[in-house]
Amino acid sequence: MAAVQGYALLGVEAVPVRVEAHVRPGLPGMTIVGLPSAAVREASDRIRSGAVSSGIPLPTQRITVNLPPADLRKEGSGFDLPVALSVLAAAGYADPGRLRGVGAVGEVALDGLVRPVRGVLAVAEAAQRSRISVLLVPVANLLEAREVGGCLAVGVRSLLEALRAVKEPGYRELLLERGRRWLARRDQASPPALNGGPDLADVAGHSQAKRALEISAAGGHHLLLAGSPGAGKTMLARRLPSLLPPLQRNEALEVTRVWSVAGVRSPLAGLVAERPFRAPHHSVSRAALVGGGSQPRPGEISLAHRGVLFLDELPEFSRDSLEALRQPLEDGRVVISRGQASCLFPARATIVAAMNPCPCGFHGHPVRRCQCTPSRLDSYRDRLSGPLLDRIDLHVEVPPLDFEGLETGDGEETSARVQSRVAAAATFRCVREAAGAAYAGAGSHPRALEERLGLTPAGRALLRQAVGRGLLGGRGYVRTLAVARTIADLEQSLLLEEQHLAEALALRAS
Amino acid sequence: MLRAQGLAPQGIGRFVAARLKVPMKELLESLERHHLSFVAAGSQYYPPEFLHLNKPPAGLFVAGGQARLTELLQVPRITIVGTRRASAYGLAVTSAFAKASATAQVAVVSGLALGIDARAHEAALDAGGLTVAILGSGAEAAYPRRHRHLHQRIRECGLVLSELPPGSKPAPWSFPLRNRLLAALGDAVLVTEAGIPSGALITVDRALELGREVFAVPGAISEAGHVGCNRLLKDGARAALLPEETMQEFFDETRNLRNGRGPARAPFTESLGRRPGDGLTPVGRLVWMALAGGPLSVEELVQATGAGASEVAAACSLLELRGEVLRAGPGRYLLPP
Repeated sequence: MAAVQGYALLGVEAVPVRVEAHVRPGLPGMTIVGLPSAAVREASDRIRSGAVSSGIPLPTQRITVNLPPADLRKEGSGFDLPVALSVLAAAGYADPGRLRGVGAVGEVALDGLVRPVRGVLAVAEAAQRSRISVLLVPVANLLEAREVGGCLAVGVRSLLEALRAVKEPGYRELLLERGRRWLARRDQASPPALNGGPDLADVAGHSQAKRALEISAAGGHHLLLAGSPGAGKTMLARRLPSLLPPLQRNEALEVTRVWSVAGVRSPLAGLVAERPFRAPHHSVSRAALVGGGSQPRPGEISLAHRGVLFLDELPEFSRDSLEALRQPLEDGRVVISRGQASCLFPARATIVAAMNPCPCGFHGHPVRRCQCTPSRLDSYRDRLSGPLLDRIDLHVEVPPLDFEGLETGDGEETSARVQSRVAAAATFRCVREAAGAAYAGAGSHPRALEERLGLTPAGRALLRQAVGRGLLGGRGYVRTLAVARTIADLEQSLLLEEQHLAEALALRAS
Repeated sequence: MLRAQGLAPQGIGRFVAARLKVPMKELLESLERHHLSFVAAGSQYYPPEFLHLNKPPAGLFVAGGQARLTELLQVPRITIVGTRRASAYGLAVTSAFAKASATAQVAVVSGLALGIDARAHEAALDAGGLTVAILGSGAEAAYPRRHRHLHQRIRECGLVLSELPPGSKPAPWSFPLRNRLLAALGDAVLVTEAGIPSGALITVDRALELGREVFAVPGAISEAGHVGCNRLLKDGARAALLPEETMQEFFDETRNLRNGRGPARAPFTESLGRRPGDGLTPVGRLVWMALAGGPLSVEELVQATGAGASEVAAACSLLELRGEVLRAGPGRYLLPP
């Protein structure tokens, strides 16, 4: 009997699963127990062929593999390698004692090679937490595993390598060295990714929309762009990531963890360096948008974590999908509950939505005539009433610009300029909040909160006037304050002046 | 109401039923059920202006009560019509003119249609004035259905008229017929926004045939939605630029037609021309002046004033809070008429 540490993915975390193998006389065959999914059960065939191809055939005896706990479903293709190792050890190819403190993850191919799998970053983090001393991973996943310090990540190319690494410490060292050299070569070869992406200076005019992008970037406020087709909404939305400050290391790890689990990126790409930009088509299902499925996978909003989720043609999204966005918009995370367990996906993304003013797109256009009947117009607008619209702080109309506006190309600010302002605002906010927290203590009274935000009596009067005119409701009041605070941060002002509040009011929906 | 005609009920009933091709018993029952009255041509409650028509209605089905009908026959009346696809500008303008009419004790007549008509009724009701809706379907039900609350409100505070028996469904031919009644009942017609083609223009044609005065509100020449009104002005309609001034003209021009119905002059003095209030910031003043040319988005205001997006947005908000400008959608503003 031999046991090695394997890992199961739950949400964006990896859970250690002990893999036990036992060989005894009996009818030849391998059985895997412990609620394995179909993919895990098929591992037996893959391993058998892989072992034969590697020259280390399995014994013709009864082999039983157990994956405790017995009532947790095991899913994924990452169990191949740990199962193979424990079986080989139980069959006598290695001393079972050698497997102590060893973790493994990977898929075994029929020729004996080890293939990359999803979620290795999460696995490496779990391994580090559980004090595993050696973690065997497929070579392609080595980059991810190395990002997490703590335990030794050894990249193995084949089943044979994995087995030898277990048996011979010297060989292990060899593989480690190989891995180090490969990483060093890679760092030299590929320079850090240049920011040659879309730039704000590419867009002519649209100063109000650009201002809204800046405010959104500085405060994480969700944004709605309304305008006729071709006005430039998509172009503007695509430039928001370039205004966000570069990913900090902990943020990059979060994003990479999600992408690794989702398997949307080649593991050879290493740590994610740019802010994500996801733009799902409006026919996307609810599960694809927020996460789910029988094996919970992250949705588009989680893939956009720390970045931008662009919803083009917002009224075309299904009501169901839009409703599902409510929780992540509030908490910045998605909780998917299944019968046995619930898992958490991070979802702190900025949402940029774009829509036409009406189904034909030309309502309010200075030249083209709108073809929509009034009832169609109303039903189109009705689709968006409700909690989602309420949580969008910035509403901007993007009018079509005439050609004269397009001619004068220079004099437009670059993304870098705006990004530096955004970064300065973020710093100012940190300083302000740190100072405020020290000063106000645990005051959670609304008045105290408002004072901490820098709201003056004149400002409060202005807001009250807005409420009196029916321009603001309860949530609107709070959100206008939040946007005004971001505007004030951009100007490095401690107090919320009248013009900050006024601009925030103008950006709210009517 | 029937008995008040001074004719035997059976006589009326048969006459009406024959003209309308509806069995008398059924007719009387539905009148009862929907609380409608019937006013036959020649009755003292029948507006004499309808007799100017080529084929006056045999009778009118009325929701709203005798007292208001009496009042209607004694006051000046203005018909306000316009497009079903109204812009924020057209709606704002309609509100202003309807309100001014109500304030001047002029009844507002319109067709309960989407867009301009509905706004005219609403603004008149909000200002406490009398409003009359003439339908191209049965008087008991709102058409379009969306306006059933407005219809109810008009039943309670104003009048709903139809020449078709209760239960009649609207048909393409019933609206032009209704439009001739709109033209006849009003002492003048005001079109606040219309493109080409537009049902409102049919009402104008009928009005011209009857010799009624036509007022039109100009719109931006680049907007297709205003082509109808602008063309009317070119062809000689009176320009309606300021509500109070237009009311004055209305009273003057319709004096002969009204023949003592209502005062000779408008019961208030002309208001002064618009000026921006005091205490505006320089940017605010620029924004206010730029909006004089019509509704603009913040983006367009940035180009018009040369100020930054941030300052323009803030200025618009402050103007909105003071009531100097109105919002016409996200990021769009206009001056109240």
